[in-house]
Amino acid sequence: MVNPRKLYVFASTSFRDHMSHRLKLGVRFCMCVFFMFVFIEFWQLIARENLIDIPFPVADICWYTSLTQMMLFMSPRLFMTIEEDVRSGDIAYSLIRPMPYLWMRISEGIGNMTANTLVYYTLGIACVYVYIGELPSGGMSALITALFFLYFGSVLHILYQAMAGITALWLQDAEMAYRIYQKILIVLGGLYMPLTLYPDWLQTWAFLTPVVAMMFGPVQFVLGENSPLDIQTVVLLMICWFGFSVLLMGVIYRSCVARIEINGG
Amino acid sequence: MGGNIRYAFDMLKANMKAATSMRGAYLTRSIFNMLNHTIYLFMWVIIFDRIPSIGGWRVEHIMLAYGVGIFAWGLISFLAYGFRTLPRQIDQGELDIYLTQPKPVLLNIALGTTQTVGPAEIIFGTIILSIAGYMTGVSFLMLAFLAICCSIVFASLVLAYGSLGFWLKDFHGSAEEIYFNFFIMATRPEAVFSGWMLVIVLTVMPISFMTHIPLHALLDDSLPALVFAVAGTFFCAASAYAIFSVGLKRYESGNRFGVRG
Repeated sequence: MVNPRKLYVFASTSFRDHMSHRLKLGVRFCMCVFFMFVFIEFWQLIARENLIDIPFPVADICWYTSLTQMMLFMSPRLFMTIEEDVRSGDIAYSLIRPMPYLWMRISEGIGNMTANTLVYYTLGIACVYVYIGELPSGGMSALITALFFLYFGSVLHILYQAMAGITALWLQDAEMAYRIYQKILIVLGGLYMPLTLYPDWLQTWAFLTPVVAMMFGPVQFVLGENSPLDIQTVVLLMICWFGFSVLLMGVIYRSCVARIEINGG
Repeated sequence: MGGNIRYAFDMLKANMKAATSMRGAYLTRSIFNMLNHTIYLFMWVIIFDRIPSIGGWRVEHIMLAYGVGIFAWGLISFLAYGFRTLPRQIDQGELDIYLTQPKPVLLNIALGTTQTVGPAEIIFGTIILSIAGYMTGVSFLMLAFLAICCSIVFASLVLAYGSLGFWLKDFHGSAEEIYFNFFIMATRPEAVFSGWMLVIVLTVMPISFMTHIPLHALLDDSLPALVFAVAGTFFCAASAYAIFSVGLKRYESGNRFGVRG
């Protein structure tokens, strides 16, 4: 059983550490803001050209794509940390500590992400608001609901990053697994446009994956009246996918650790 | 000069030998890599299925931009991966080894290390470019020339931003993020970048010289755009070399002991 106090200590240490790396935080934030502005311009251009009938107010879809982009930037690259542990062999030292290795790294990731959240949810949201010039049609409550669920969606994203990271024990390279997972998240999570604009067959596929609970589920609240999922559905989706993901992670982790023992570390 | 070319060729051969020594792993990585790019391209197919054109760009234009981007990324991963790891090499004092050798430092940095998926990305980029080139009916000779220009611009960006590691400590993670985002940004439709964004993508983040301007030259047979693209390539390369040279003067040895086999 994992001691929650230990997890908290790791998370808070990582939070402070990340906040002290201002350059890294600043570079990532600037890139994120630029990407969000590019997406806003992208949809404003589509609306100006009037080539398709967008079933949402332009401001809503701009908020939607800004938040999906923000979600990608908020999470740290946890898979790289785990891959580095595997490559350097440091994982062997971490495994004998009185703290499950993976939960230690995940809690560090959450601490790191919380530091990002603090910056992105204040300065980032302010930048987007100034650029778009208005709140989403659902108002402040829709935005706050989206941001609240987006935090938990990002935690779920961290779990999948951890799973991608431990594949380094098999493949010696976690980036391959992560990049494929990331592309699935981008396509089926609805990074560029809401899933409701996708063909029906692809929407069905998307709703069978956990990426919906990470990205589309939380962010679709900014679509106001047009948001297809209500709060209860999103909560249910998250609980189910969190449960499944933790179990899956346990299975992958155990089989990977067994592999280390077989190879002699 | 001839000696340097032979040296570069030998380094390339050694890198290729290292890449193909573990054939199973090499093949797996290459397949995963192509799958990754295919999924991303698939997303654009979905977008253009819904939206017929974005600022005059259709799916074949995105394929051209993405193909050029992957080609450049693969070429750098294979021929100049050392540029990508430059901030880490600076932090760890690894340039000491190159500074004591008679061969050019930049050549040693570029070819000192490689990424095995590079050749697969070059092949995949070429396939995508061939399909997109066929769909748009552009000159393949010009397409190849501009893909080389794009690769030089991208390598220059990587070198210039990587050289910031001479001034900023622990910059490797941020630099990797910057390179990847430049690549992604360069594959967006040109029309999205207007006003102040156009100024950014022509100056501090000159990704327009990677795809937008060369593709404009290619698709519209525009001579001014071609001249602008070539001039931009020279300018980016010269600026990157200047930043690297100034940075190298600030380099402090890590006094690190090690054996390089």
